[in-house]
Amino acid sequence: MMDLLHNEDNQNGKEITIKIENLVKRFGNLEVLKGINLEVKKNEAIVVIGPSGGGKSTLLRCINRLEEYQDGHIYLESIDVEKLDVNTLRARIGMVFQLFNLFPHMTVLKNLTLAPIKVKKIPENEAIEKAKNLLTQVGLVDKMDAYPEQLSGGQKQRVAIARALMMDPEVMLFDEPTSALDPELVGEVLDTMKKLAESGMTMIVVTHEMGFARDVADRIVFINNGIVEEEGKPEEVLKNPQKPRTKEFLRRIL
Amino acid sequence: MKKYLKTLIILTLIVAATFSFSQTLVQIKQRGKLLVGTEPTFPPFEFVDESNQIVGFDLDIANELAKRLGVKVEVVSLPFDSLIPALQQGKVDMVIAGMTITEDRAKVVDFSKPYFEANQAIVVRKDGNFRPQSLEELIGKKIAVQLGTTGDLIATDVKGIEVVRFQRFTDAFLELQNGRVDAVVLDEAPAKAYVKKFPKFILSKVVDTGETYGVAVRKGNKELLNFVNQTLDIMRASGTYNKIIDKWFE
Amino acid sequence: MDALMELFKNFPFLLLGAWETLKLTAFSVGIGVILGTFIGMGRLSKIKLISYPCTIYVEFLRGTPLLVQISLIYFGLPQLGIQLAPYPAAIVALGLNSGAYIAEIVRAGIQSIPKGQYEASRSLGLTHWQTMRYIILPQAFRNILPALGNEFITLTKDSSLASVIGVSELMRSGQFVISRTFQTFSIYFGIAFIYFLMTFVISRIVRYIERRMATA
Repeated sequence: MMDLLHNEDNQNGKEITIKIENLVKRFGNLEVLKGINLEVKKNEAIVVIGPSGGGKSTLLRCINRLEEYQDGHIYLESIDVEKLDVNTLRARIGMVFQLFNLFPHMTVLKNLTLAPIKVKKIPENEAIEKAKNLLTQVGLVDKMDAYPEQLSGGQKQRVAIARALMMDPEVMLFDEPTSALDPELVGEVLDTMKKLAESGMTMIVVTHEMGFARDVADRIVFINNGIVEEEGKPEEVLKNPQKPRTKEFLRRIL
Repeated sequence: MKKYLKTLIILTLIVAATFSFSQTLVQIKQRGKLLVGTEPTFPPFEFVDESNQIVGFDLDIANELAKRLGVKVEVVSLPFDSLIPALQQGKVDMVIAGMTITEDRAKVVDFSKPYFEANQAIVVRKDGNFRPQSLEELIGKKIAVQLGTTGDLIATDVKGIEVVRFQRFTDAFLELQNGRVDAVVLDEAPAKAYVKKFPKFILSKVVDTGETYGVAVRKGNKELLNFVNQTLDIMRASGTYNKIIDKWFE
Repeated sequence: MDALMELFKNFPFLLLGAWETLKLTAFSVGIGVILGTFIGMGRLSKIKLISYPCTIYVEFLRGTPLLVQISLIYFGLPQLGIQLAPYPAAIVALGLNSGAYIAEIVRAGIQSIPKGQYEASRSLGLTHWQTMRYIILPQAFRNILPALGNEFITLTKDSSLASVIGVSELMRSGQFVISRTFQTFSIYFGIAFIYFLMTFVISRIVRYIERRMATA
């Protein structure tokens, strides 16, 4: 997958791709994010963990502005995302959803080629070539003429990942990508994500899959009650959590 | 669909342009059409024949008027109660529709000289024994009329008659046939034609109301009114009028 | 027997009226679908300057009788200097009216599409309009096809109201025949039969399209 990514100038992961400063998000009176601070370096894979309702998904949705936020700043390569055209911003950030959200009235191939053709104005034959290439990498090129309803959950999510990659995103956001899958289908999706991380894709993954977090993440971020409680390397956070809330969460989940 | 919409808009504009207010004789001549409003469900004055043409006594008068202007008649067919509004809104140049000249109507439109003398007929079922000889005998009874016609007006004027109104007099007769009303009051000519065709009804009495039909033009349109009056005079003098009478009333 | 003879004799005449009814309805539904799609989307807009007028439009047209609307457009618009002949006036009135009902159908259709579809499309960088055009509306239209078919049938019947401004559609053609033949019952029966035939065929066609789309 390496050749399809935007990292011609690999700088040993030093460059900061996303920087989040004091992010506050309220739904009416309910404060969901209470001042999040986070940096994601280039080529880094971050896994965000934490209890349900803690604001993990909301954080992801703020990054590509599916949610508006009330205070703080998000920077993509040092530029405040609010200063970018929202469609340009989203074209640069890939997102994978819990419920796949494939377009049911289009074939797999169409699902992949629509955005590049309409947004990036890539010629159709080029888009199709690229789609076939990506589908081959996620092992689904034989399904390119199938409709989403003919696919298993795991296959759908792999198509969704390929669809997001079609736009050559600089960052990929995963919002609980395996939560809606039957247990036996989780593995194939996680493998695809792992390969993607190994290829150097910058990723922020919200998940409850602790095995994936341990094996793939460069850093784990524990978000609870709207703030970053603790962050660090997987072995540190998972084996030796510092905060009582982290300990409590890990004890329940592991 | 886009193509249709475009066609429709253009069509609308063209039609709107052709139908725009124009009342003076010059404008009618320029347009090449005399717009005549009528309700062609009133034989023999106006009706649609088998070949889908609107014909009748009134139409022959309209044609005579148009001929003298060097234009063609274009009939705008509307329900009777919509004819005066259409005239007021400039949808038509004149109304020729077996329309009785009444005081109330003359307040809102100008009428030509009378061109036809018509009375009101009271029609009942033959199988019954109700044979009213005056409007007063209808007091306490239920009758059917055509909405906005003279029959409607004179019956409504008599207190104690329950009047049921229909858009078309044929519907009024259906009501009579079904026994839901005791009589139908309508103009003499169509009443005679109808009773002739359906002997189960009988013309009980022709009430001499002294009413007359007139051609209606927009209030204050003297030029057109004078033209109509002149033409009617000429038609009577030349014998054309009698020819038309013979044609439609034997 | 006389009555039936008259009906047979005048049936071709009635069919001409039916053809006018079909044309009138098709034009009106065409306008209604285009108008209804935009108004339906407009009602869901977050911008109040768009959604409020759309709501008022829908409420007003659904809250007043079609007969009044037809009369207003034919007899009322001349006050504003707009003269429409009966046929265009009828198409405008029926189109505006069906636009309001179709707007509600479209709105429900859009709302029936899961929010995730919209978000997925937007997250790929597609604009609101692109998302509507390629993702939401195609799915919505598939869902609302039965409702649109119903609206077509309703409008076929409602187009008979155009007879009040003198459009020679089926109803008015029938009235002409009645005034000529005095055969009230048999002609009205013929009219009813032709209306039924038209709506029946339309509903079959809609069902056929529905099935084709379901397997597509």
